Amino acid sequence: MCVNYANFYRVVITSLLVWPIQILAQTTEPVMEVPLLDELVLDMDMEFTETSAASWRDRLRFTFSYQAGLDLNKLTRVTSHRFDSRLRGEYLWQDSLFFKWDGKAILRLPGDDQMDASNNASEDVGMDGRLRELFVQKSAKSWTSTWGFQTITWGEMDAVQIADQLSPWDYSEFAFTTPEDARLGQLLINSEWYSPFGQWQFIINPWPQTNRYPGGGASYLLEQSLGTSSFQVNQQQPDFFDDYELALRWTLNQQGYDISLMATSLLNNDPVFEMIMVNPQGTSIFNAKFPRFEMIAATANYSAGNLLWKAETAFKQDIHVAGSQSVIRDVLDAALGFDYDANGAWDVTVELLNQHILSGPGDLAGLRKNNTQWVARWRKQWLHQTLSSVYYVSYQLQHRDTVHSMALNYAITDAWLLDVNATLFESTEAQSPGQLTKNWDQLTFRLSFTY
Amino acid sequence: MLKFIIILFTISLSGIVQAETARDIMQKVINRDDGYSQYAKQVVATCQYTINKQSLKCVEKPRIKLVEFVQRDTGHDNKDDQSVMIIQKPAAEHGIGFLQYDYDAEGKDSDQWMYLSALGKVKRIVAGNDNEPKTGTLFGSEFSYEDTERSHLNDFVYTLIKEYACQPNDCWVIESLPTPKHARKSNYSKLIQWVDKTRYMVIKAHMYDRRGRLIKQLSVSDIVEQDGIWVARKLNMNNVQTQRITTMKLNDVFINVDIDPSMLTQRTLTDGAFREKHLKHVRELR
Repeated sequence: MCVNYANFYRVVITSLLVWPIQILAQTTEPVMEVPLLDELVLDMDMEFTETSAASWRDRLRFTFSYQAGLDLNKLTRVTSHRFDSRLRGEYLWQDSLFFKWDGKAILRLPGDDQMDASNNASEDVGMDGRLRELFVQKSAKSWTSTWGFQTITWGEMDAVQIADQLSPWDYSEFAFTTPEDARLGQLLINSEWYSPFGQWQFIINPWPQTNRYPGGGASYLLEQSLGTSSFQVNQQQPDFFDDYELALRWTLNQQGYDISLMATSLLNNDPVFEMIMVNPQGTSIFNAKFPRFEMIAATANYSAGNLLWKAETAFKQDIHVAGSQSVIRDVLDAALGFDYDANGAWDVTVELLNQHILSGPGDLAGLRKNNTQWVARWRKQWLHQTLSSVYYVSYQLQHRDTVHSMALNYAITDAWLLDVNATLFESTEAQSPGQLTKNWDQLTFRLSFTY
Repeated sequence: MLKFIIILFTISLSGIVQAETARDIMQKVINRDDGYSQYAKQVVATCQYTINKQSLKCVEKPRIKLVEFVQRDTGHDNKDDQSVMIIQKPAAEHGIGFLQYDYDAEGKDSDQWMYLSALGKVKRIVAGNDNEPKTGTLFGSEFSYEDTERSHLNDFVYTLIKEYACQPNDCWVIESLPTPKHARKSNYSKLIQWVDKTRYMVIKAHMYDRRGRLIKQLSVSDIVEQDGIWVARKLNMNNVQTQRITTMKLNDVFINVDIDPSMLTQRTLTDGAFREKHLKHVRELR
């Protein structure tokens, strides 16, 4: 066999020359336009001086805020004009008892809607307070008991409350109070047992509180809904110890899903009005009571990739149902929803809720058998998570009422926070409850400093 | 002639040996013992900067987060991971907590829960789709979620570029190119990593975006040994395109500490008495 050595050498030598050049071409680093990090002197004041664990500063947080609101239908009308200061803290004493507190004092200035409600319109300022949490907690290996003022949040849904019936809400400013501020603390004994088969929670409420609504003269009082021009309500608030609430919940967390079951005996958070008489002066006299209702509920979620599926249902026996008159009915609530996360770019939540009245007549006197609502929330973060934008929409199918809310939250620094929120109401049906609120469009600014 | 063929064969073989060596090195880096549990108090500080006479200075007040982090290995062969992170500062975010369970098995999604003190409840959050690039970052810092996730050896093809005289030990410079499958969900088209030969740690890295441009530089310093395990107490991540830098410092870090498994459950997020008692116990383990 004759081999052409000349060609062989040519091929080999060419390969030997080309091969390293090819490798270098793939892996040579581009010329740096910015000095390499290890060539720079890091002259950055990023040393974080951490206060010691025993320092009182570590246990307290102060927040000072100013809020101003404008009526979007009449920009000269101020809806809110107030300062508030919030004090929060927690402390573990002797490795045994844990204390937590969260309260707020509010200073309302002339023009604030609530000034009208408190009949202090002639005064310069008005004071108000909120106690959200004040409790002591004792924890052992597998159980915890919490005594004092606290809030309880149940349920999978973010925008609608089905199983979340324990904590009353502050509706004195309608829907313009944030959920965190609107949820009212109650005196509770809350015991939790962490078993190998799930978590058990048992709650006793010896002094139930009820939802707060606007007082006489308040901008948000739906006087039109009461019909008569002159009325008197004798409200019988729940008594301490005589009236009580009980709640039991079991929760199981597993890989990919969580489930909860609940059973409660609660007082209605909304009053049921019973007309007693019309007095000789023509004033209608009502009794407002908070009757008991029972509830069994179930919630579940399931996570798959970008989606979190959520479901919640509750059967409520003898619960207050809002209509043109308040009535008691058996109700089946159900909601289905999902959270979608676009891998950190933005996220959206959609929830669909239906309330079905099981007993008694429906579609009478403004009371429909079904009350269906869907809500959606889209959220995106900008500027390295310092700016957050949220768009929220709620649509009631039977009445075709819509609420739009747009919020911007900007962390100016780690301590200063600016919130801007616009809420808009739409109502197209003449008989819809939304007609009462369709002109309440509002723009709110809130500046907070926390340290 | 025969001698020439042997030389050629040896050169070719050395190339194959080098490729395996790069992969072997990275396998040792990924499998490096980092302890079966960890407690750390982390400070994450981020700012926009300018460069003036080789000195890097913040042009704004840094955004600072102080978090307490507890982690333990679990599952089969201790390849799964459970961790809880509680934000201590800034004050406006105090008490926000994250609980995460990561699983080694392919196709098994992570479980994540978040506790928002404002809402007063624990909420399961979506872990995201592993088949798409994740755009989120840790607290708005320059550490993306991809940067903080555990690496998988088969996600990249490795090439040893050169050896380099790093300080205090020599290191290998390794190029990592994502495989086509991993490239779909990675934000990087290439990584150049400096691996300490003695400690098998990445002490420096350059990350290239999907267009092949240098986007981030990572430098690791203040490496200490604890219980026979090397721990990096300071990491700097510099985004050269946006001129933002994040410094992650571990003020306190304890490796292989006794972590009660019940601490890595939702109870830590909601039960203040339980959480503070256990955190205090862990903080005092020195």
